[in-house]
Amino acid sequence: MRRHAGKFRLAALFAILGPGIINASSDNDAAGITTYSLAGARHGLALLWVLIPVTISLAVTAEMGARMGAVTGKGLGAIIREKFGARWAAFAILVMLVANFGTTTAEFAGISTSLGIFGMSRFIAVPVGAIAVWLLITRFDYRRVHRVFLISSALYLTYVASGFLAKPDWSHVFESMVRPTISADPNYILMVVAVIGTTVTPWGQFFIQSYTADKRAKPEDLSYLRADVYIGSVFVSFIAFFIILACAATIHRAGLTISEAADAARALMPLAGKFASLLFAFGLLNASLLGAAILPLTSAYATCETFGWESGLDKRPREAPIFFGLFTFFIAAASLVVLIPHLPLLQIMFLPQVLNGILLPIILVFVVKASSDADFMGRYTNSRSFNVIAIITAAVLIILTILLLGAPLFHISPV
Amino acid sequence: MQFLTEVLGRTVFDNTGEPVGKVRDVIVTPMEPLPLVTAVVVGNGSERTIPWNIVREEVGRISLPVRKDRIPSYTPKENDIRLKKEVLDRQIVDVHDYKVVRVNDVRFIETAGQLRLLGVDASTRGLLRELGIEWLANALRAIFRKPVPEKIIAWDDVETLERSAGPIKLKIPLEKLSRLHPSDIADIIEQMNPTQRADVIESLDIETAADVLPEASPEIQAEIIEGIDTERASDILEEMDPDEAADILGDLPEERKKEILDEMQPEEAEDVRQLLSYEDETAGGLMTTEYVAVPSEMTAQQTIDYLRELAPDAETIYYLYVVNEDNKLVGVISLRDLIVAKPDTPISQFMVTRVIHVHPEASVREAAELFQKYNLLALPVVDYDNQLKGIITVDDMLEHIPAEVWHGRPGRKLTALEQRLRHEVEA
Repeated sequence: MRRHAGKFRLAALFAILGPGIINASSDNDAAGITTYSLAGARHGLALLWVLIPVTISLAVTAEMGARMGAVTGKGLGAIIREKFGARWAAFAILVMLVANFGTTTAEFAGISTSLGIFGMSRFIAVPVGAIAVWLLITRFDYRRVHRVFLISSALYLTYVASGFLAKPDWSHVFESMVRPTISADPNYILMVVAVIGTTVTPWGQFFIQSYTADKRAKPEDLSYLRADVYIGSVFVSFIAFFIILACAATIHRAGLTISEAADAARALMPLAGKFASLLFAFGLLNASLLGAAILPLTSAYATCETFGWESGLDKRPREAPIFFGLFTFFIAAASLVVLIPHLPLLQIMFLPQVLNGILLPIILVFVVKASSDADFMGRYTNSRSFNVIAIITAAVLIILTILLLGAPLFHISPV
Repeated sequence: MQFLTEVLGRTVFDNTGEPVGKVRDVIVTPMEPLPLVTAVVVGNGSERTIPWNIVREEVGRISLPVRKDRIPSYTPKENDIRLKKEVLDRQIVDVHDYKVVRVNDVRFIETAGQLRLLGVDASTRGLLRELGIEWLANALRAIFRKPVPEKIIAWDDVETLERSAGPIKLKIPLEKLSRLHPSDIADIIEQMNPTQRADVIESLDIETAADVLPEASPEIQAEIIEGIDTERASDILEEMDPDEAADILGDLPEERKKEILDEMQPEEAEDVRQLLSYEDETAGGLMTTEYVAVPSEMTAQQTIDYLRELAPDAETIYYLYVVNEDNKLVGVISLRDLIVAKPDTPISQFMVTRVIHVHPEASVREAAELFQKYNLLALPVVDYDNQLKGIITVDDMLEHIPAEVWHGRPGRKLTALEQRLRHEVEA
C-alpha cells in the first residue's frame, strides 16, 4: 500500500461523508414533516424533550447500521438471512415491507396534498406523481436525483427562521427541553411513538447499511462514518426541533389545530407571510418525491438481496423481474390507496409513522444481535453502552405500544 | 437425508432414548468425486461434533448406537466445510449458468452406502422448503399450471465466495470462476455487490483481471478500480490496452486518476495520458496507441519476421501501417497481401497508398460512417501533419457507434460483419 496518507484521507472524508447525513436528511420526508408539525400544533412544546433521547437513539442505531455495512459489505437483509436463516429473514423483510408500504402511502398523500395547494385535483396529482416517480427511478441516474432532493430539502431551514421570527418564549422552550412532560394521555403516547417512528425508521436501518456497503466504506473509515452519522442525527433533530417549535409558536399558541395537512403551512407565516402556503407546498412536494422514490427502491433492493434475486436499476425488467415488479407495485398500490375517495390524507401521512414506531423494535432486535456477533463483525462488535441504548429504545416503544393497545380506541384521535 | 434443511434442528437420541441435542450443522470433507458427509454438529448448550458413520437415520428419527457419555468425537480435517455456517443462506456463484445466487438448501446423494454432497438448491422451491411452506409450491402449480422449478446446481459448478463469515475472510482462490471466459466473469461480477466485486478482481491474476474489466459496464469498471489498492489498480491498467485504461481512468476522480498514473510504468502511463487528452466522443478519444507500423523500405519477408519478433501486443494485426522516417502514414497493407506477396518484394510496391483515415478531433459518428462505408476492421488516426497517432479498432467502434448509423441505409443488404455489429450494438 503506497497511498499518500494525507491526500487520501481528505479524499476519503469526502467520499464517505454522506450515508449518515443522507439517511438523516431523508427522515425529513413528507411523513416526518407532518408528524413533527402535528406534534407541535397539537401538544405545543410538550414533545420537544423527546427529541433528545430520539437523537441519541438515531445516532446509535444508524451507527450500528453504517458499521455493519462497512465491516461486512452486505445489506441488513443479507446479514439477517446469513445469521438467522431464511425464516427469520422472511419475517424481517415482511415487517420492513409493511412499514415501508405505509410510509410510501404517506409520501403519495404528501404529493397529493402539496399539489392540492397549487389547486391540482387528487385524481390528477397522484397518477401524475406516480408516473413521475417511476420514470425518475428507471430513467435517470437515481443517485444524482437523490442529491438534488437532499439539497433542496434545505428548504426546511425556513422553519428555523420562522421559529425565531415567531418569537417563542425561549425560557419556556428551554424549560420544556429539560423538564420532560410525561403524560398518560393516549394521544400524547401516540404522538411520542410517531415521533420516534418517523425519525428512527425500519427502512432507515436497511438504507444506511446498504448505502455504506455499496460505497465500499472500509472498517478503517469508521471514524469518518461515525462523525457523519452523528452530524446527520443532530441535523435531523435540529430541523425537527424548529418544525415543532414553529408549529407550537403559531398554530398551537393561536389555539388552532391542523385538520388538514395544508394547515401546517401556517407555521411558516412569520417568515413568509402570505407566501407561507407556497413555500410549504414546495417543501412538502420535494420531501414527498424524495420519499416516494427512495422507499420503494430500498424495499425492492433489500428483498432481492435477502432472497438472492437479481436486482439493480442497470438491469432490464426481464432480467430482474421481482426487483422491478416490487417497486412498481409499491408505487402503484400506494397511489391507489391515496386515490380512495374521502380518505383523510392527513391520517394517511401520520398513522404509518405510528406503525413504523410499533414495528421498529423487531428490526432493532435483529440489528443489535447481528452487530454484536463476532462471526460477522470481528473486533468491530457493539459496545455494551450502544446495545443498552438500542435495547432501551426498543423496550420503550414496546411499552408505549402496550399502553396504546390498552387505551380504549375511541379515546384516540391523533389530529 | 436428501436435503440439509431436513435434518437441521432435529433432535438426536442416544441408544437409551435420551436426547443428546439438536442438529446444528453438517460437515463435509471435500474429496473426489463429491464431498463426503463426515460429521454432524449437535448442540445442547455446548456443541459437539459426532462422526457421521455412527449416526443412524431411520424414519423420522436420528439416533446413535451408543450412550450419551460414550459418543466418540470427530477429528476435524483442514478443508472441512460446515454447510450451515458456510454454505446455506450464502451467496455463491453458479459457474455453469453465470449467476450469483443465494443457497436455499443443500442436496445430498447416497452412493455405495456413503452420503455425499451433490449440490446446492437455489430455486424457488428450495426457498419455500427452507421457509417450511413447500406446500405452497404445489398450490402455485395448481394455480399457474406450471411447476415451480426445482434446480440443483452441481457442486462442481459452485464457487463459494467466502469461507468464513465476517471480516477475517479466507481468501479463496476462485479457480472455477477464473476458468470462465472474461465476458462471462464480467457478467457475474455485475451481479455482485461492490465488496464482492473488488474481492473477485483482487483474487484473479492480473492478466485475467485486465481481460475481465473492460467487459464490465463503465460505471462498474470505475467503481472497481477506485476501490482496490493503487498498486494493484495500476498493474491491471498497465496490462490493459491503453485506450481501455484511458476510458476507465477518464471516469475516475482527478486525484485518484493521478495517483494511479503515477504508479504505472512511465511509458504506459505516457500512452494513457496522451489518450486521456482527447475528448471523449471523438476519434482521438476512441483510438488506441497499440498498432503495428512498419518502415516503407522493408520487404515482405522482413515484415513477416519483424511481426514475428515483435509478437505484438497490438489490438489488431490485420492491417499494418506503413510509415516513413518521420512517422508519417504513407500506406497500409493487409495481412493477406503480406502473406501472398513474394518474400523479397518491397512492401511499398503492393501497399495501398490512399489510406482511409480520420483526424483525432473527428466525431465518433464520422469514424463510424467510414467503418461502414469501407467495411473496415481498423481505421488509422492521423493529425494534420499526417503523423500516425493511433488506430480505432472495430470492437472499440462497436461500443460507441450511434445506432442510427447502422439503421440509416434501408434496403441495403447487410454484410455478415455488419449484422454482428448491429446485433452487438443493440444488445
